[in-house]
Amino acid sequence: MNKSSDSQGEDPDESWESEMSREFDHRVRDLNEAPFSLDHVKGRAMTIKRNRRLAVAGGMLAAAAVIVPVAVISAQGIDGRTDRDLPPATSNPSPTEAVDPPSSALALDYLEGKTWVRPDGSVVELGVKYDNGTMLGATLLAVRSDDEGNRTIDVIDQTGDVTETIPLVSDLVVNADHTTVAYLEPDGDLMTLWDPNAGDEGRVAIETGLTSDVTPTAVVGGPSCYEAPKGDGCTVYFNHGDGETPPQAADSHGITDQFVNGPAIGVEDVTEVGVALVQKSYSDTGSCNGIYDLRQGAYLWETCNFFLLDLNRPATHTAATHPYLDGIGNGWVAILDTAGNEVVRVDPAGGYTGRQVWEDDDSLLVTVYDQGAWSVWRLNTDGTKEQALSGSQAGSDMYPAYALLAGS
Amino acid sequence: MSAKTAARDAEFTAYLDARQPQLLRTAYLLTGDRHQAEDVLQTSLAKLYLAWDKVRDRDSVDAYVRRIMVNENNSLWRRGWKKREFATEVLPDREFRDEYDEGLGAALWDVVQTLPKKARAVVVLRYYEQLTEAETADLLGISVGTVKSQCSRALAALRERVPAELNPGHREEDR
Repeated sequence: MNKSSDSQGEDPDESWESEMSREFDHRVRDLNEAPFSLDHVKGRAMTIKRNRRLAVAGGMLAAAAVIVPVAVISAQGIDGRTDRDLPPATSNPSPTEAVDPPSSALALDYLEGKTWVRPDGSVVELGVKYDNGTMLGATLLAVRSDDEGNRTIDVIDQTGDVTETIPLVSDLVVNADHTTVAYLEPDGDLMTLWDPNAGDEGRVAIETGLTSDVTPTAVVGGPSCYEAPKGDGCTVYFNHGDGETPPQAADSHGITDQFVNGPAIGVEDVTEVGVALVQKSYSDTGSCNGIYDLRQGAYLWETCNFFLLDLNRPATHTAATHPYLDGIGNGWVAILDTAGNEVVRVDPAGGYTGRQVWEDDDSLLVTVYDQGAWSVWRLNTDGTKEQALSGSQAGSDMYPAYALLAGS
Repeated sequence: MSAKTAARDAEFTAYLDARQPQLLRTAYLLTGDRHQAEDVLQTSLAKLYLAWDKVRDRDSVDAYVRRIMVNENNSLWRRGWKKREFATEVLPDREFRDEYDEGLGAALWDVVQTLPKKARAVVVLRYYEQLTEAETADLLGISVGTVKSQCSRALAALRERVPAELNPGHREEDR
């Protein structure tokens, strides 16, 4: 290549600059390959897209708080959090037929491959490997995608039968009680869905005419999203996905509006106690984020050193990671208190973290890919951590062996 | 696959065929490691693919993907690049060997590899891609002054650390 210059005349460094150009040319002159096909590129693109979705799915993740049944705690011993093997998979589709099933290592539902593992240790074979999903009461809403990237929710009853299939183009978020979910349908309807037995028809579009870039990140209230007195009312928080438009909230009164004073480009999580995780800005190297009090209309804490992922239910702690998110996964995940002090971190030396879900008010579950195997770690707000599910060789770096059922 | 998607893929494939070797060279100079260069390139191409419809000015695609590559390389540590060494999807056809490894070239390359990643990006864009200071500054999102100072420091490092007998000025005096 020929050297271009911004200025004319003598340059005392010119000989060094010429040598550098010459050396660079020599160094790569035999590098004439094109190692990647379109399929390679598209495969990595799908992974990035999926991880971007994970990164913005904080809203429902915090809502994954599940009260640990007393019986499960008893079965696990005093600490209840020792490493243990997964309960064996069974072809019996009905968990009700299992006799004294072993209690699960986790206090929430999860998928391992094509197997749905319940908190009581019973398992249901699904026959399909799902990407992720959430529980809506006792019903499993499992999300899968086809080769073209089209995504659908399979509504699965307790026997493993698919009773309905719903297309979606966004993440699937759930409220803290796992009684109401929200998602975007391909036609631009921001849908809410709840157990029909809880009242009304079980679903209503809380906003319409949205673009496919919109992603709900939290739903608060419910179960019914109809306006009182007919229903309970709910609020769905969502991002426009363009990195510019402030996040909005759509409520059962038919009002859709911004809810953050000042600059904001995204909401990651909102809890029932009125605290939100807000992304204020981003750059090529990171992002700035804050914990926002909806009632006071002001930030409680702001940082450019962490990306804030998921609040626990009482909003006393948040999951966080590095402020630059792109890539196959996050390098580490930590629990911070709301003053920004780091309490505990899982930082796989030879891998990365997949996703994280609050198991209860004090424990955060994190899927971890390390040394070629997937595991689930439990981080506690008291500063301790332990491996909750041991390494699984199933899956790959691109496809997690475990899916914690708290949304997509 | 829709006709729109097929046309999009065909256009992107044409870009891959035309520009990938050059982009791989730049990635190699940025990273100093063949495997890491491929990792950066694949991720950068994937991000370009996701943004393909938004890059309306096709003449600016190279600049766009160069910027992604620089940012990817600067942030590799955040996502623990080494973790994927054991999980690569495609093995390279052959091992890449540095054949130009003697004298001044080797000494200069050694110094370049010790530069901070952002400074290294500046010298690669300036002295390999032949971008002007203004173009380099624009691509990296930094000031022209920063480009100048980064180049100046890199050249100072070369003067200081390359053995005197290999100094280009010294060699010219010997001729």
